[in-house]
Amino acid sequence: MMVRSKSRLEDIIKSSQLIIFFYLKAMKQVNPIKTRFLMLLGSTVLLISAALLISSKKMTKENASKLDLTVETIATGLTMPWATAFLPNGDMLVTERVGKLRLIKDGKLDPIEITGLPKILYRGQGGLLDVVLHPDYAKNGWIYLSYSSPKADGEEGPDNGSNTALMRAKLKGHALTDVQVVFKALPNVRSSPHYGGRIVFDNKGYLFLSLGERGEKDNAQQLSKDQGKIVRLHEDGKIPTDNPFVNTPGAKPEIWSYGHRNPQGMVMNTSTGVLWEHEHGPQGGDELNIVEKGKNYGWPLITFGIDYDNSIISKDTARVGLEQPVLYWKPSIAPCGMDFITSDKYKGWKGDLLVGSLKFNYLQHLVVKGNKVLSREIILEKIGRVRDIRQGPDGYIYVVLEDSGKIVRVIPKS
Amino acid sequence: MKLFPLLFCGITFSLAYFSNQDKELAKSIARGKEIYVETCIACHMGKGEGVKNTFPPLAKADYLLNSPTKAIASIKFGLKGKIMVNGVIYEGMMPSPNIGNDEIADVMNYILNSWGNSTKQPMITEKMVEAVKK
Repeated sequence: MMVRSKSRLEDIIKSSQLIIFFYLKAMKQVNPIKTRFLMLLGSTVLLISAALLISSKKMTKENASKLDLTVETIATGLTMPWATAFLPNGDMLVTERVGKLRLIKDGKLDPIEITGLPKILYRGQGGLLDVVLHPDYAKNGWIYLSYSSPKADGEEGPDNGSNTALMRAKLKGHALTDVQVVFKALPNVRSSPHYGGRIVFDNKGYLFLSLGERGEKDNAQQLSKDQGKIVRLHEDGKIPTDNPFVNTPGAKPEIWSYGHRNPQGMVMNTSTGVLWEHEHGPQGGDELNIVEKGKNYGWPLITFGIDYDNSIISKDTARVGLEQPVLYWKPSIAPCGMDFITSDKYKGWKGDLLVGSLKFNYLQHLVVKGNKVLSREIILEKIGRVRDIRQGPDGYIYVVLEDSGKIVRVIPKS
Repeated sequence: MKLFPLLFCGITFSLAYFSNQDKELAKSIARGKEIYVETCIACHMGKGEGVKNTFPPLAKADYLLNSPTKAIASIKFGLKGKIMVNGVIYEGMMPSPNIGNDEIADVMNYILNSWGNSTKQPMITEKMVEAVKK
């Protein structure tokens, strides 16, 4: 709210500058004959500017105000859906956390499951997670999936451990072919919270994968482990040579940023090329961050949250060298899934961000300007346990609901 | 008089049996605590207090204490739809953590013996969990 009033102040200052500019311009021409006329003109300009200022203030208010929205059910019958992707032929791919990949054809859930998935550990918060198409999908057919992968022979970590993996494959009918495991986060960890799992392409040939700290918070600060990191890879899993820690001894070269807890939302703001991420904090410490190369986002050295038993994790919310979030949620909303609105379907909301809440069964509409959030409001209350939010090729927002096993489309009431 | 040694043996045996069961329960509770912290704590909170109107409490919760079987079923199969806990309606969904029957028994033993919950409940065993159907 502070930020919002600041932007209004900027508006007022700008308008005042405009008024003063015109007034001075008028006063410069000190022709006695025209003075009266100019004074009159000056006053008129002043009045018009004031009127404009008021109306522009009104407009800002209108832009941030609630749109009347309704939801339309697109598909039902899914079991704990987690994410969705839109295929060029109009079909949708949906991941079910229980470890299944499904197709939605002509608005109906295809009863035939897609085969060819690797071994997936469905336990705790683990399972089949995100699904994203390669930006050149139409040409190359690559589908990327993230999942909790049980320890394979020779991998680091205990025998019954697991960690987040990223694979790609092509879809032929109802089968995945050309399956390649692109990346596996290590070490494997026995417990099963905090897998992260969001996949984002930046359209420059790189992809980002978010990784949770797997309940071992101190490892979010260890560059020798993948826990609590965002990693940056080439589309085939090769590690880019300009990653920030490629020359740091003992550090994992795939790391792009660190100090994250459980990032279950990540999206590229295509209008600015900036990567946004949200993560589950402990009690009261959920964060929205802008992810930048090599930066430390502070978990668990700094946090706005406290532990679930009310114990203090850190007395600090800020420290030199550690990044501050764009905003934090207190109480926690358990954010899961977000997307920027880039279409014109929602009047006044273009460029804004929608974030889903697992905990409170609603969405938050964040008014975004550049890298700042100007205001936030709750929309679509009681929609359900939100897992994913995606703008479809038709420009409408689609929401994946875990509890009702539905995908819905958000439509503004005309 | 011949009865006396028999009685003595019986008492000794029972004491050993029950103290052994206590030890088993203590071990199960300790394992259950780990599972709770890993799987349940984010919603049901550190002292089982839950989040009013959002996530039901487990501490002194009538729903749980009146019918541990229902609680076992919620962990085993997940829970969806309206329930009433201590007079408050909860409508959310609890996804099943998909853990083993032995682990469900452990976490149940932890919950049933923590935060002022009654310790009079019999120890939950893997077999009891196995018997719970949808």
